[in-house]
Amino acid sequence: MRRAIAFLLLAAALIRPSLARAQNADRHLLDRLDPATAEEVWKIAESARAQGVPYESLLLTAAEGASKHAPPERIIVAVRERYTALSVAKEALGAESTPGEISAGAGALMSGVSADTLARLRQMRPKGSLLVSLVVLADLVTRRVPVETASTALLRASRMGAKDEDLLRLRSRVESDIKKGVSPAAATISRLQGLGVNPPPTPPRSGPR
Amino acid sequence: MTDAELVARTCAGEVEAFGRLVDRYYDDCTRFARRMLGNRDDAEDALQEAFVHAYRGLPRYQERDAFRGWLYRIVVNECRRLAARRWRSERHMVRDQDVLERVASREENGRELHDELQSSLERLEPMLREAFLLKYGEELDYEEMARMTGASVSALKMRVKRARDRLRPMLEREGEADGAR
Amino acid sequence: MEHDDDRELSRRVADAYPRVGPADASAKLRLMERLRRESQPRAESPQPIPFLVWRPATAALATAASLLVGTVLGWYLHDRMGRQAPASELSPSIAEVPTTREVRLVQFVLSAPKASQVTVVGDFNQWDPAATPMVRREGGAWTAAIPVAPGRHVYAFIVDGDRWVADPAAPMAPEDGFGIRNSVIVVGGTEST
Repeated sequence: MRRAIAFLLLAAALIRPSLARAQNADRHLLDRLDPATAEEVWKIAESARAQGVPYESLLLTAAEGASKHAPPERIIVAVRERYTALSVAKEALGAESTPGEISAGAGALMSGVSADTLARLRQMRPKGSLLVSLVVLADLVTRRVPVETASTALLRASRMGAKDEDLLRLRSRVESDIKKGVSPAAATISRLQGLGVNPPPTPPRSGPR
Repeated sequence: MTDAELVARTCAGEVEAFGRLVDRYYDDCTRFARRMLGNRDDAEDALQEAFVHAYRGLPRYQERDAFRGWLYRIVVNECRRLAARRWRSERHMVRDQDVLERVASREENGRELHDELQSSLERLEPMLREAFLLKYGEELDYEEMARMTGASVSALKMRVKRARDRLRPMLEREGEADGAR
Repeated sequence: MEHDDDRELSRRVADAYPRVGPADASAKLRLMERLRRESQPRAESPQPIPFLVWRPATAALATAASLLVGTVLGWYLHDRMGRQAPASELSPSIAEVPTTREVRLVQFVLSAPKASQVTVVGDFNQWDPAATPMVRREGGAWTAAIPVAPGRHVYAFIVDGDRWVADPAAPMAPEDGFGIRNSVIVVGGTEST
C-alpha cells in the first residue's frame, strides 16, 4: 500500500508540463527568507539557470544563510559570490564537468585558488574526476597553505597520477602536521614527497600569509 | 574576483556580475552623494541614474583605469546634473506656493541630513564642496580627483584649500558648542 | 600649526562623514531589477504557464500520460534507491533529469559528550536544523545516517541548538560568507548531470 502511495506521489510530482512548475517547487528553499530577499535570490538563480550554471546551489546557499541567521544583505552577497564562482569554475573546468566538480571548483576559487590552476588541472586530467583534487586543494588553502604551494602540489600530484585516496590521505596528514605546529607549507611539501612526488619550491619566508 | 573581471563578465551578459560591483560600491557612493546633495531622496535618484549609466557604459570602460575611479566620475557627474536641475527648478519655485510647501515638507520629514558637518558643507559652493568631499570624505588623491572631475590638480588643490579654510572655523564653532554640553 | 589643524580637521571629517548611513537595501534591489529588465534581449520575457490555466482536456491527457510515465519511472527509481528515500524527498526537478540518481547512506558522527542535542545540517537536507536530529551513543558520540546523492556536499553540526561546529575529521570548505565554517563530504558513485 505504501509503495502505491509513493508511486502516486511520484507521479503527481511528475505532472509538470512546464519547467517553471519544477522551479517553483524548489522555491520553498527560500521560505525562511523575507519576501524581498527571496525575490532577489530567485532572480539571481534564474540568471544562473539561463547561463547554464547550477542554480539549485544558489538557492541552497540562501537557505544556508537563513539557517545561520545571516542578515539579508549578506545572503544576497553570498549568493552572488557563489554564482560568479560557479560560473568561472564551469568555464575553467569545461562545460562537460559534473555539478560536483563545478561545486568543488567554485569552493577552490572562493578559497583563493586561481581559475588558471583549475584549467591546468583539467588539462592534466581531461577524462577523470577532479572532484577530490579540488576539495583537497581548497582544504589546504583554507588551512593557510600558500596558494602557490598548494596549487603546484596538486598539479604535480595530478601529473604523477596520484589517486583520490592518496590525495585524501595527504590532506589528512597535512592537517595533523599543522596541528602539531608544522608550518602549512612545510607540511604540504614533506607529505607530497611522501607520495613520491617532487615537491614544489619552498615559498620565501616573508610570504603574504 | 577583481573589478575588471566582474566588468568582463558583465559585458559577457552576466548582469549578476554587475550586482557584485553594486555590492562593492553602492554604499560608498551613497555616502558621497548624500553629503554632496544633502538629501537622501536626491542622493538615491542620483545613484540609481549613475549606476544605470555605468552599466550601459561598461563596454567603454578600459582596464587601465581603476574601476572605482571610473564609477565615481559617473557619480560625480550625476550629482552635478541633479543639483543643477534642482537649483533651476527651485529658482522657479519661489513663486509657486504649492511647490514651496512641498519643499518644506520634504525637509520636515527628515530626508534632509542635519548634522554639523552637513550644515557646514551646505555653506560651501558646489565646486568647493565636491572637491572637499572627494579629498577628505572619500580620501582620494589629487590625480584620481582630477580624472574624476576633469579639473586640473592645481585647481583642485586650490578648491580644497579654500573649502578647508572656510570649513575649519565653522566646524570649530560647532565643536565649541558641543564642548559646552 | 597648519598641519595639526589639518590633521584635526581630517579626523573630524573622517569621523562624521560616514554617519549618513549605508544605502537602503531596497534601493539596490530596485536597481538590480531595473538592470535585469534592461539586459533581456526580448521586449517581454516569456511567462511560465501555470498548470491550472491549461484547458481541461489537455490537462487530462497530460495527467494520464504523466501517471503512466510516473508509474514506470517510480518502479525503476524505487528499486535503485531502496527504502531510504521516501517520495517526498525526491527533487521535483527529477522530471528534467533522464538519468537516475544513486543515493548512498552516509553515517555522520560527532563526539560531543557534554551536548544535550546535536543535529547535522547541510545541502542534502536544505540546511534545515529540524531535519536530522542525531542520536546519542555510548561514549558521547552522536550519529545520524542520511541518504546523500553522489558528489560534493557541505555540512556542519549544530550543538545544543545554537553552536555551529565543523566536522573535525573532514576537509574544510572555504569561508562561506556567513562567518561559520562548513565541512565537505564527497560521496562516491556516479553523479547525475
